[in-house]
Amino acid sequence: MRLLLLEDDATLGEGLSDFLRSEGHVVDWLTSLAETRGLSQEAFDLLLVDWNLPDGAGTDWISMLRRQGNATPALILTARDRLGDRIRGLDCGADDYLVKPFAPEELAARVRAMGRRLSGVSSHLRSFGNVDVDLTARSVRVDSTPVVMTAREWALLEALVLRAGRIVSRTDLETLVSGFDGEAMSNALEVHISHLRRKLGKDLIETVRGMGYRIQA
Amino acid sequence: MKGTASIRSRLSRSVIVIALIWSIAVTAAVWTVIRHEIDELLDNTLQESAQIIFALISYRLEHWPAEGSGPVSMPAPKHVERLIWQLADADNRVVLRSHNAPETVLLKTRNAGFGDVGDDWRVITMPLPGGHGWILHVAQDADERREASIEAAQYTAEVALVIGLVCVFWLRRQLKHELRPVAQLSDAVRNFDPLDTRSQLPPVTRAELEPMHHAISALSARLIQRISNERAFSAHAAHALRTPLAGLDAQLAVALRESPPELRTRLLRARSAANRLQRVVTALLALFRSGAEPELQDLSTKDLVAHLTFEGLSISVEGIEWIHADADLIAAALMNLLDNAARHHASHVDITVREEDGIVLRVSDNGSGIPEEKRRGLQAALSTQTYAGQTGLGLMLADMVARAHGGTLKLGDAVPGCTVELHLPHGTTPPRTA
Repeated sequence: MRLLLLEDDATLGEGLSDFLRSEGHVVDWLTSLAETRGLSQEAFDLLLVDWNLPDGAGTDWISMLRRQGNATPALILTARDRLGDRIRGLDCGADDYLVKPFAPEELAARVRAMGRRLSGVSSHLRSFGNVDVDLTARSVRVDSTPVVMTAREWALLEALVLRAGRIVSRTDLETLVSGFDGEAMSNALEVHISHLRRKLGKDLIETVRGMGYRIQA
Repeated sequence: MKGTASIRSRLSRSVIVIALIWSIAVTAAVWTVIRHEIDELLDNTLQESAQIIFALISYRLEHWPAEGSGPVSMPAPKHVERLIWQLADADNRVVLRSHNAPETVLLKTRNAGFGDVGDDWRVITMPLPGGHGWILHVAQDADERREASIEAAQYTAEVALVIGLVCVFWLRRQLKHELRPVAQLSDAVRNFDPLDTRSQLPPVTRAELEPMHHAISALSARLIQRISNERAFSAHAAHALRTPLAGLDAQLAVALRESPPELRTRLLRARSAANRLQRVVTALLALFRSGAEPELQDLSTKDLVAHLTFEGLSISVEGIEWIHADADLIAAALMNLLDNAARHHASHVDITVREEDGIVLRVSDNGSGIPEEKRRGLQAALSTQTYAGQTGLGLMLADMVARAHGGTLKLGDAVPGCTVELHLPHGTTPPRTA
């Protein structure tokens, strides 16, 4: 999944972004609201937003996004633990609320849960013909045989699986792939799609010409 | 409150004492005045009577018995004689007397004027004219005087006492009425929440209550200021502590994933310590934030415990699921009790929730337990809140959480292991409908 992390604390921001990357997500880590300008239209799967940011409240930013029609799921990370704060945080348009300190494993589990909600299927186990995908264990089996995948391949597959039945735009997938450090090749997306087809079968991922790619639900 | 003096009782007692002293003083005054006036009145009467007798005797003096013939008693109808008289010659021998007068002279003195014969008679002495040296003594019964004085004093004392008692009852009634604003102010203070801007103390209706009203208002203002400062500090402290703790845990989690195997044990220990620090800080912040008033809500003990994970410690929950308490505070208390269990080598903890004058959360572990003597010392420290040098942070926090809910923390005597009971008197929830 492509995640936007808005956290001004360097230790936490770096720790979380590294942890979530190690979980196979693409993480854009920003430290202020000013840095988000021009980003709101990009296709993030989930926003992880600290309440107290140096140039404003994360909750106000989420409210603004909602007013603009942006429905990207948002999870608030905050030190505020009072009941009233939780209610205010969720009422501003956030989908989830996590009080610091939290274990990064719990955040990762919530991100996965949010991903499943995004796909409209509550189960973390998805089957597409002879391909079985476990979104929680991040494992794939073809004809019950485990398949080894790279982080980039997993990110692409997860994005397609979570939106199964829908077209995922080429731009979104390219942004996802380019989110990994060091990835700069212009045909990187095709290369990774090609690798996926080789590992999972050529029929799983369908090319929708001029629009993007799709996995049939 | 038992043992505290009542203003009404104290004032009533004072009035009773004053009424008694007043009645005694009035009686004494009346006694003195009446006695003086009665003496004066009766002396005048005595004098007038004596003058009549004097005139009669002086007029008939030549017919009186000759000397040496002995005292002659004057005839009279049968009656109680209140006024007697004697005629004595120059040698103080009675020569003529009224029928009840004694045969010896009432007074030896021959000087004209009033005198007393003991407590029995009031006597007036008059020398008769004519050069015989005869003396007339006329005496009046003193009992009449005493009786008049006593009756006057008695009636005065009774009336004074009745007035005093009426005053006492009136004063008690009036005091009850006058003290009603104090009771009303007490009720208002009981329901007054300084932190609620809609809550206000009613204006006082007695000038004497104004200082108290001002003092309570000033106290509320100080309380609001202090709570406001503490909340501000709590919010800052929460942010300043929680974020770095989360960052520390995230960094350690990443380091664990990226580290070579030989460093994993050390990093696991570091993360475990960081997690413990998180629990303690979270508990302290929850307690500090809560202050006096916990945020009560219906909460599921099963859900609550499900979030409390301790490596190497299995936890089971049984009994009533829903309780009414502050979720953060109960979580903080349980985290610290579980932390205690883990540090005392427990591998399993049973949490049972039962209803018993509220809710009792019983946390039992299979750890090394607490020696009997130390357990008694700990219980005494918890009961008196003398934590210093006695209890560890975990028990102290759990006790403070129980007290914040109006309850107590008790150490059980079950062995082996350790049992701690968190009593929450108002922890029950209304029956839930499906």
